[in-house]
Amino acid sequence: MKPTAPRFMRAPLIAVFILAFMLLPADLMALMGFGANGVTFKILDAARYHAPDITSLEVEIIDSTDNDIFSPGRNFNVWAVLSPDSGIKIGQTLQADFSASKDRLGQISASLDPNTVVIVDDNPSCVEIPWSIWEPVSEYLPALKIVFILFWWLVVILLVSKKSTATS
Amino acid sequence: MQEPTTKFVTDSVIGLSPGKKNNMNKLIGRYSNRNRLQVWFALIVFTICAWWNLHPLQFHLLDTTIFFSAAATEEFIRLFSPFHSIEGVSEIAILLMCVFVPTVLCIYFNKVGARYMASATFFWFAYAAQNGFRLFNGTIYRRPTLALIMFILSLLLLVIGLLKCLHNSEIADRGVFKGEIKETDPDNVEVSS
Repeated sequence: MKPTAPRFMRAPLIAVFILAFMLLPADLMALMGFGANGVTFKILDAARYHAPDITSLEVEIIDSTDNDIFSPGRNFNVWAVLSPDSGIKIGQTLQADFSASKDRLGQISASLDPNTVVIVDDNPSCVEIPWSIWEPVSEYLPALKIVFILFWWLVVILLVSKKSTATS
Repeated sequence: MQEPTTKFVTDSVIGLSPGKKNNMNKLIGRYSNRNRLQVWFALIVFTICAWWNLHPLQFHLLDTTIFFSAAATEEFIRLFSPFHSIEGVSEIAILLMCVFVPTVLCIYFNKVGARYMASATFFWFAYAAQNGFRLFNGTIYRRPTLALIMFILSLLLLVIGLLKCLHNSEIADRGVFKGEIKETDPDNVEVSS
């Protein structure tokens, strides 16, 4: 006698198989990752940090052969370790190799290879990358978050507190 | 008859106009007659949600409610174009569901008269704004200014939710808690004895 699944289990089993095949492309894409070579991009904004010594770049893709992730018109935030004599400024048009990965929330972490960066267009209107003004505040952020919550606790406690009776 | 004049003079000396002080006095203790259980519940939910909203890229409990359906939507679309990342589809699906579900709940709770629960759905709206932050922060739709607006909006919705919960919580003098409040109220105990 041929072993078969009970009748009540057939529909769920078929659903699981369909789901597994649906998830297959996603699994393969996760293994493959994303990348594009020779992407032309413009630096819209940037800030340098002391510790660690990294630069945050807001870039806009201008030209790319990749029509998947790094397609023209899209903006990305890229963290890169740039040497002080790289000469990269805000407003310049550059070319570099990009790679990207996706996290659980669907956030794209884009990165560029600093060794492949080539300055395509440099003009006098380009400005030096400034130091981040928020970096000194960042160490107080956890405390500020707690202060935000405690402030509203205080407001609510005041709102629900019993009014003191008038003294005669 | 002397007391009001004296009070007015005292307030003027410390630089507080009588109107301002009256307004402050009106605010302090404004909701003192509210059901404490509901107030504490709102505060605890606010605290937990605020902690998650202040860390918008980390886990939020409501992620579990929509993660599977959003992922399934993305995979369903990938069936028709495999190996091509249609980025942002799952984020938009999450965002639409995040707005849709609490809207339906809010309308339903208002319809049945559960105003406290309707106010609590604002914490869910704050989660929707958090997903707006996620959409504008790190996908192909990256717009840092909009992400910042969404972050501030999520905190604003949290605070609105908390204050609305406070405002719409049960008044202790009426309803099912009437008996319990009377027992613990020392003034009423004295009168009854």
